[in-house]
Amino acid sequence: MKYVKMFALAAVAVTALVAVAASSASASAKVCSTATTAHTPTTACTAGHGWVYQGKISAKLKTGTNAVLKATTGGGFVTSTVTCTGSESEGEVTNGTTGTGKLTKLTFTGCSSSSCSGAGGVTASSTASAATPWAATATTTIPGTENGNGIMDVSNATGQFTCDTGIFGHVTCKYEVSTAQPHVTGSDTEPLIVANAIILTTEPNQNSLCGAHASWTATYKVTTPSSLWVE
Amino acid sequence: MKQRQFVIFLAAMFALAMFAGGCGGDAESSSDSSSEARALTKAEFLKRGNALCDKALAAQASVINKAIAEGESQSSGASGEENAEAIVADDLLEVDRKMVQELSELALPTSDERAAEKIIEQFEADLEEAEGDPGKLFSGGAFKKAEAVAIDYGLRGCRV
Repeated sequence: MKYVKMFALAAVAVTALVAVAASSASASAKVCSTATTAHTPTTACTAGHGWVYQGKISAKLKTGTNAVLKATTGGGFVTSTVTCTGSESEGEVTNGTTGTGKLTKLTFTGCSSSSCSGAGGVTASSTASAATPWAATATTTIPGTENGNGIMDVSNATGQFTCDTGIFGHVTCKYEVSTAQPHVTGSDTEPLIVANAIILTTEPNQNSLCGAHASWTATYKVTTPSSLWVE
Repeated sequence: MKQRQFVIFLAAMFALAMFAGGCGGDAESSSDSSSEARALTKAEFLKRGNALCDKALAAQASVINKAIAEGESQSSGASGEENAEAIVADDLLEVDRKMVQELSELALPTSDERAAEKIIEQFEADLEEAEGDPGKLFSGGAFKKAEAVAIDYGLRGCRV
């Protein structure tokens, strides 16, 4: 009986240790690519995933898809929807071993909305820039599991759209999120960054069209580097 | 025989208890629906308050979107904007009056009644200002002061 109790305690201890190890692994993930241009230091990743990548990262809206910002009330009633046919993002992996970097650009083009029927239509933008970059950290999707996919924790992201309503003039809606978590789908040919209904909060004192929240949905194809994995 | 009488007595008591319970339930539900007299917990107050603000925000957006859709063919410009704002100001004020009225009818949370009361008072004061200056309804600043205290209190849906 004594041995059974000791065994149970040991099992609990081992489980706790594994959990801690797994959470440590998820706290930091390598960014890998087979692109040979920028990988310093030259640290090998999982077979087929090349080396730890450091350097420029850029992405464009996947062909045939749109970036959609849907403003809603807390209960989900849609107050306005902005659809953009173009969106580009740029940044830099500053430390590929820890998966840290920054986003220096997120732009939107070809936007439209039924709420913005004035001559000026609607324009959308973000505050990501070289001067005010958004910090980003990559982690693996499943803590401790290296399948090439990951999550990017993007800090203090803010954006807005300005809508020419026509009869009511221009309305600007501003949004913020302390941590946005787009997913990274690793691939040799088409690595993707997917923002799947990321919830943003509406800044206070804005027009009703801005809603109380907005969800941002977009799928980006990473163009530089040509292959990308998180592990 | 005595045992049989006892069983009948028990059954009668049970039926009586069920009947009395049913009457009690009716009385309780009717008082619930007739007023908000029962004090709320803060969580209940926030839930109901957020729902009211949410409903108002949806109604406001509907009024504006409807006007935009209907006004597409009209010419814009400064005078056009003023005209359009005047047309929908009444509808927006009606939505806001209803929201403030319903908020003020909510029973206040027992834990911090005064704080909740201040929020309602601020909504009433902001509404009064908006009635005098309907232009505020379009700039998003109509309930600027009330929003600040409401969000701080936990009424995060009150971005109206």
